[in-house]
Amino acid sequence: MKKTKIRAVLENLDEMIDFIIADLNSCVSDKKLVNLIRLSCEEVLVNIISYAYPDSEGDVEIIQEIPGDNGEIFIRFIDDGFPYNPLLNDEPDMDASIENRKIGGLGVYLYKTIMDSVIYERKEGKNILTFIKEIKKDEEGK
Amino acid sequence: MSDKFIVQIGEITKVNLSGKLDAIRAPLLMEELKSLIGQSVKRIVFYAQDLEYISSAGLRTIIFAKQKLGADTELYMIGAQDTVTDVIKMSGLDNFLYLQGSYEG
Repeated sequence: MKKTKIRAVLENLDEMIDFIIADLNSCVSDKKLVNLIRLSCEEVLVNIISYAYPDSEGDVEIIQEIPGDNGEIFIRFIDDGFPYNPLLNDEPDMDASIENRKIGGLGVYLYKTIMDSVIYERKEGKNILTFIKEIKKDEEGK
Repeated sequence: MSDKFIVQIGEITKVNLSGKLDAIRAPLLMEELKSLIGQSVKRIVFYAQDLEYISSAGLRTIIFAKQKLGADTELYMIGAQDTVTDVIKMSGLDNFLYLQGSYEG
């Protein structure tokens, strides 16, 4: 397990993503899957950067565990900002005509689609969002 | 990376996409696309051979283009890699964005 705590500002997005991606590249050989995990993490981090601290600055803590024997990737994002459960968002209407497509909600939809599990908890004034993604055998060591 | 995205403006407008179209770079593209509002753009061709990554911030710029430039504006994306087309299809944007390997014209 490794963790980091970084000031939640857009200038630090690349540093946050690099922290997550560095180890994924070595344990997940499917580059398309790495790309989708990266996308999922960006969506969460940008939401925290944009909305968690409307009146002040704050941090985001990232905790990552990559596959143990159960073959699961586990990525957790913690902020102590404004309470926000992204899983309560309305899903975007994927069949809506383009004129009626809503701009919001797409990022949350994408990571809910990509991850096996997304769990939100509010504890001790913190938003805790956890991704779990199973890495199948045929995606390892190709 | 400081080059403009839009390389040709007209009825057929051409846009070069490369590297990452993420929350940091997508707003720059959005600003350029806003400058097209009010012009008679019939088609936007996004050249995406060198685009490695797109996030929802990038997808939003494409939705924006279609919504603000008029329903009749056609959108093409040329030569996009799987990592990009995966996300476009997952989002349902392939309903109005034509994905092609190459483009004549």
